[in-house]
Amino acid sequence: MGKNDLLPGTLDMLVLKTLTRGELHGYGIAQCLHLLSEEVLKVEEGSLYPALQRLELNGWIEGEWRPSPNNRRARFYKLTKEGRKKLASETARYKEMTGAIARVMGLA
Amino acid sequence: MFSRIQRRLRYGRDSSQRAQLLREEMDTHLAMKTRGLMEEGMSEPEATRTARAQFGNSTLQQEESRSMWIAQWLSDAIQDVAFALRTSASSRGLLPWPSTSAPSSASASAVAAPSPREPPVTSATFPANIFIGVPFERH
Repeated sequence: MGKNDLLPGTLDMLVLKTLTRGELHGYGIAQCLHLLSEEVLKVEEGSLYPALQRLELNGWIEGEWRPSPNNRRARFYKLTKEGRKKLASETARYKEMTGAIARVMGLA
Repeated sequence: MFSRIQRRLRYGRDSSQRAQLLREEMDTHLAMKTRGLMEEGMSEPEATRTARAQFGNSTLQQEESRSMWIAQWLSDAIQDVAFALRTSASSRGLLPWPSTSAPSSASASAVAAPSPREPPVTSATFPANIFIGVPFERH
């Protein structure tokens, strides 16, 4: 699945949610999304980086360079307090949106 | 506001370094991915090819990341200029409405009723996240 197959803003929400599990680098986030979605979501991995920049720019995540477990320098991201608030509001918006779609589709 | 200015100054100062670090970050991602695929049994050339295919166009992603900063920089700059112009015009009495928001408590609003000429709030605000969520066109 390419990033354009996701609803607008969904990738940001998914990245924020993934980071509630702890600090992760870009590859870790991609792996996490892939595994947690039971291999359904295969986001074009490079598209994570503009999203990470956007989230960091807004102060919702913070990045820090550190050695990874295999001793390679990697940038680890963590969720900020503002990021948690943003995730809560995005989750509420997502629920509202999917609920509305389900009602239109006669699934609710 | 202060953190936004700090971010902008930092970006102006470190833009080339930031681009270089982003490249390094993406290279690290590709190396980790390649290694993971090799551990699953792929040969090195096959793993490298697959990792690159799943990553997508890294040059395009770098450009998109960079344009994210530039877009945000412009959005912030427009907000700041609009705010400065509005504050300046209001302090010189050129605007028919005050630049500060009306008191919010019930007692204060009883004393100072809102002016009928006060413009809607939306005309005085500029969304901070105007560029957020707007996908960039791929060329």
